[in-house]
Amino acid sequence: MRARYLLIPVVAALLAIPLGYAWVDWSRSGPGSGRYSHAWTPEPAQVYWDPATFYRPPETVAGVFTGAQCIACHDAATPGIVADWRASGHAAAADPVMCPACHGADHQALHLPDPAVCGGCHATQHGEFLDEARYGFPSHVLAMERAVEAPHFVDKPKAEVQACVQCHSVATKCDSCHTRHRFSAAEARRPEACITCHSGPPHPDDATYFASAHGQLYLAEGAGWDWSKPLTKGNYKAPTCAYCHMERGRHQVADKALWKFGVLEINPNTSANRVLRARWVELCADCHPRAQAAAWLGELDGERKRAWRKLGAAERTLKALRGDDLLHPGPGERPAYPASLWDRYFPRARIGFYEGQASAFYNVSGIERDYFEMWYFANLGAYKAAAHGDAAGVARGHAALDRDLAAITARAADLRAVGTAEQGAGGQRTDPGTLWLDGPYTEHNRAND
Amino acid sequence: MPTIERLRRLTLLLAWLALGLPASAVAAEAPAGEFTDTECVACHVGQDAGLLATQRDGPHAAVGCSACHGATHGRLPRARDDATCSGCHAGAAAASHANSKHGVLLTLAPPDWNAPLQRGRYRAPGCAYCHLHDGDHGNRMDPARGREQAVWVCGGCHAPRFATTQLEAGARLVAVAELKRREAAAIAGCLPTGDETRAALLARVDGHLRNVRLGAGHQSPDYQWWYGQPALDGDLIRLRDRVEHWRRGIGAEPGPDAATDAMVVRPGPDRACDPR
Repeated sequence: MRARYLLIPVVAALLAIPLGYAWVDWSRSGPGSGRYSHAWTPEPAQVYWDPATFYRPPETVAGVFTGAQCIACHDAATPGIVADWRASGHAAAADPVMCPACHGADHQALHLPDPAVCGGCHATQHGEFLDEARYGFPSHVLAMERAVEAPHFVDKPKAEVQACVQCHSVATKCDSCHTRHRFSAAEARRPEACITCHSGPPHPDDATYFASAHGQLYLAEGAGWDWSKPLTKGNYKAPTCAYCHMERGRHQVADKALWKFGVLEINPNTSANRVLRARWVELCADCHPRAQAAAWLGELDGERKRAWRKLGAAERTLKALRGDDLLHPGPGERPAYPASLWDRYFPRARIGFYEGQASAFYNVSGIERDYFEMWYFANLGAYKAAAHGDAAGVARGHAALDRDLAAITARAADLRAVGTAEQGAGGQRTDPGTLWLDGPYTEHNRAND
Repeated sequence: MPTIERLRRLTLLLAWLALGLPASAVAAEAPAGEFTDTECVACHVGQDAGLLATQRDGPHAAVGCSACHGATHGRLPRARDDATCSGCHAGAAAASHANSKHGVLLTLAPPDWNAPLQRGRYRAPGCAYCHLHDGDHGNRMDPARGREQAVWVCGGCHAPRFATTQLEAGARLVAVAELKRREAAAIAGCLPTGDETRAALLARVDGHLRNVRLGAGHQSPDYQWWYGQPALDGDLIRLRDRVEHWRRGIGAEPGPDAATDAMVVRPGPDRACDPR
């Protein structure tokens, strides 16, 4: 009798585990990719950003070709890439790495090389690149997965979010940094190799680095440095992106990520973070006294503390408005939070990192958008400036944080006054009607869910 | 042949070599000195009629030769250099290209601008490589010229299928941004005619739409996205918020009294509005 009761949870668990695996498997089997793959179909251009998942070879030319034959045709068809390959290390090798080595020899079964193809020869770098996954996000190797699993990526027109996968393809191709068909390590060591993606309001890595003493030295003299040298002590007069973040040429940028990009508040003094901090100090010690490096990192702690105090104040203000139903439009009066079935029936405003703030930048009320901009633009701008040693940028970022906090506080008071007056007058909220639900773009987006 | 005749021919040959060759060489060489735009056209209309026709019918019709080429001969590299273009096309137009992979490659390894603007002659395209490809003085990348023209230019390095797919993706990206502009115009229609912020809000929409176009054309993810699409999303929110301001009396009215006015609850105009 007792054995029968014991059997129920055992059988349930035995059923649940394979069912869980089957469900996860199914969720990734749709026309798109990632956890929501059934909810979207890729744009044709996405085949080039994630070739391993989507690329299909052309059917134009039939035949199996040698490298010399490829070049004979492509010298005329696409002379730019042939010239580029001729100037590459692949061409200069004793046993040249020719087109079929990476693309295959059968023209109707061509492939675009993904990291695994490059890893066939560059095993160390590929191994380091894959290993980065254990440090979590933000990281290069998980970038594509994170892009396609972002609720706003799933929700928005795929033509629009093609903009995302161009940078997030750093996880699915090697030529984001080592551009084709030269694949030069020297090129990837220079800071400009990073700035096509590491720029713009949430991550002004370019502006903050170039404004720092390191960046100024690079801008003044960098063109004359020997970039064929490895990223080790004594080889460079000033550090570049790769010198610090890909220390000694290791192909991972996340292994020393202490403050996690500034997107969420972390405790910088956990035992794990003390280990990371010691590694930073050791790296800075290539040029600077250790005590000085430790003090600089302490300044960064201080900057983060000040930023999170301001962000916390704004976030509490917003959550108080949400609690008193004073957000206008309310969560039920605007399109639901993207990719959430739950939110469709039980709408709720998402406020803060842990609630999915990153996708709450459209279809939200004005004050929520203000907070998004404060958190994602002013805050991250200040963080990047502090991390890269751009003092003026820190001052600008914190001035923006103060301005945003003051505006949010004032607007919240206003929303509270008007909302309370409305409730007092007749107990009725002003109905926003269809103002937030209609419009050519909003309807197009809804129709193409 | 008599010796005298041989000598006469040799003398003639020597004389031709002494006088004729240098003379003909001088004639082929560009004349020295400074020239006005009118003088440029007067000579070149005979030599480069096709080039001048593309210039006359193109977007630079009102820009004189010397603006890009300088007033003296021998400055083709200057005219091809991105720095010359960005002298006028500063701001988003130049920045969106400079930050793209094409722009970065040009920064890291400045090309030899002596090379003609032809396929295979540049590692990465600068402004003139695409827009004045092969010396075409119109705008080679003008969508009105047809996609095949652009595919040919991109095709110096990229497969036609790749180029076509990317150009089509760019057009669809811009189409989405245009939907947002239509939505912005519809929301602005809900604002009372006297609203002081309306023009500025719509100007921001136009600026962000332009960024999307530049981002798509120049393959700059930053301009497609951060300075483009989510910025447009923000514009739509600000516009709707402004409508709410009139309906509920939320927020300060812009003007000198804004600070004191902030807490005053004003009745909004009672108008039904359909942003469609």
